[in-house]
Amino acid sequence: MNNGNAASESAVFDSERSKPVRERPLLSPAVVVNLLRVGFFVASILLWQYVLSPALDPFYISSPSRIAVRLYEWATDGVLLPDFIYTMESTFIGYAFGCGAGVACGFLVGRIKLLGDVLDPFFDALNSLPRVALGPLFTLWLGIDLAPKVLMVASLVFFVVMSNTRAGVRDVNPDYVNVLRIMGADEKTILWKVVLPSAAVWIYASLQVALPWALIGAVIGEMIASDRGMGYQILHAGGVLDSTGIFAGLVILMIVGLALTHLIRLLEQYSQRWRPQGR
Amino acid sequence: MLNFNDVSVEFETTQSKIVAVDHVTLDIQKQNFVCFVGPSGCGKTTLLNAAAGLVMPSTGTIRYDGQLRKGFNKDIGYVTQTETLFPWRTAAENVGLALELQNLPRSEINERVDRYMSLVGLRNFQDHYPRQLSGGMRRRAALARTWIYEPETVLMDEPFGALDEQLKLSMQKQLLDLWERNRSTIVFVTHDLAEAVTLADQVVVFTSRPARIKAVKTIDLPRPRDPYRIHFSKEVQSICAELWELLEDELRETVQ
Ligand SMILES: Nc1ncnc2c1ncn2[C@@H]1O[C@H](COP(=O)(O)OP(=O)(O)OP(=O)(O)O)[C@@H](O)[C@H]1O
Ligand SMILES: [Mg+2]
Repeated sequence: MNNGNAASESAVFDSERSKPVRERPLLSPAVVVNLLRVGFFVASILLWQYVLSPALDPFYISSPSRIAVRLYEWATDGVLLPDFIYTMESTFIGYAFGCGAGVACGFLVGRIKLLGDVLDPFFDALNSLPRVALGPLFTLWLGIDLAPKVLMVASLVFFVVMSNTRAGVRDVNPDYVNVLRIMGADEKTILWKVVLPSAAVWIYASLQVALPWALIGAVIGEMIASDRGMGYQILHAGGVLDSTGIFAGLVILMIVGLALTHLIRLLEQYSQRWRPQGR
Repeated sequence: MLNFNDVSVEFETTQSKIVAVDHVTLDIQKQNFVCFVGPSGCGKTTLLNAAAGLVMPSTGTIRYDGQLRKGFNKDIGYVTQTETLFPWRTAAENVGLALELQNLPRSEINERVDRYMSLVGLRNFQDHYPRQLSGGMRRRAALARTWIYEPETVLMDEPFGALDEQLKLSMQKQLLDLWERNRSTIVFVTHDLAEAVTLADQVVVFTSRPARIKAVKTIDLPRPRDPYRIHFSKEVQSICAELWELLEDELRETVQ
């Protein structure tokens, strides 16, 4: 009769505890997964190369070998390097600004109730605008160099990060906040010691989701008005009916996207190591 | 020094109003050890929450050191009934939290964390995250987190509820030793009558919901007390029987 509450409380959390040690199987699950991945990749490439390409027409869908050759040419003569750098520049600058502003605004509207109540519908309205359609406006305001692309990227990234941060901040367990209040902490301390760490999962998730949007924004910005960049080059390849060029450009963007996503994931794993692994 | 004057707390839920605390007037003297007992759901936690500034009384006032209090009071520490260790901090980082807020030097924090974690028997679990601790261990870590900064008044809500009998006795002993040294004011909620009698200067018995004070029993067993010795002693048992009589009718109402 005297311990019902506390005992059941802890049982709730048991599912989150690490798994007990068990005997390892011969092939660990991670190895199996990786083998299957490689297998799937190779199979898809072979299918494309030897079935789809001959059956349809390499003119339309190119083929892995042609793409590989093109990538090799680009790598050796370096003609595309300035375009690549240009695209990365707008991606990174826009991503940094968008994430920074997104986190900051998410905290403000999430934490200050009145501000959130007033501004939420406006954010939702802005977010529902198809940003791509604003491209011409950005060009009108900022010309055709880097600035409009940065703005395009930032405008896409911002809302993803802002809405997630806001949700994370609102999701903070008020009991945790009270622990600090009782210890006499001020609002700033609460922000650093409770709100940020508990909203961090949400923020990391949004940083990952926002990354592809950053690349999309940069490429679209270049397709709308530019004389440089990967987006411009892909558009140009399309103009001269060079499907291999389009695919090769896409492969580069895909590799960049994967690498960056992985980087963020590592960062997350490090800072969230208190969480049970294998979510 | 902690005075409840005609305090009531009412909750509004979607369907109805719940009166959790009903016109409680109670004076808790400085450096006293006061235990609250009463049927489950009667309003003990609510009363502590009000004292800690977490809920506003619907009527009445709570004074601390004669001052009317609004909001939070740094001098009151609170070990809550629910689990509130931060899952992203290790046990030691949780325990050291209050000292961190006081900007003490790292070495001093480490030294005190070490001392208090040993006190609650968690010395070897400093680097474990809460999810890697057992329920009872988490309770003890939560105790250390409040004890470590030695607030003038400490509210504790069923702090030893999840512990086995031996561990409970040993924790009671640690608590009494600590209290003999720093003489904080303690308000301690428990369902264990023997525990209440062993620890307290006064035991406050509450009615079933809404909580009203049914009786205040002064326990004048000599101090310092050794829980291992007196827990099963005749004196304690007879006071328990007395308290049990007071509680019995109330419990009957609760269960029905
Ligand atoms: N936030 C709330 N909203 C509505 N009702 C509440 C709230 N908090 C508590 N109550 C109600 O107030 C009553 C007293 O609750 P309280 O937690 O104070 O009981 P307690 O004496 O601590 O019980 P226990 O010994 O089981 O912990 C209960 O009936 C509960 O349903
Ligand atoms: Mg309670």
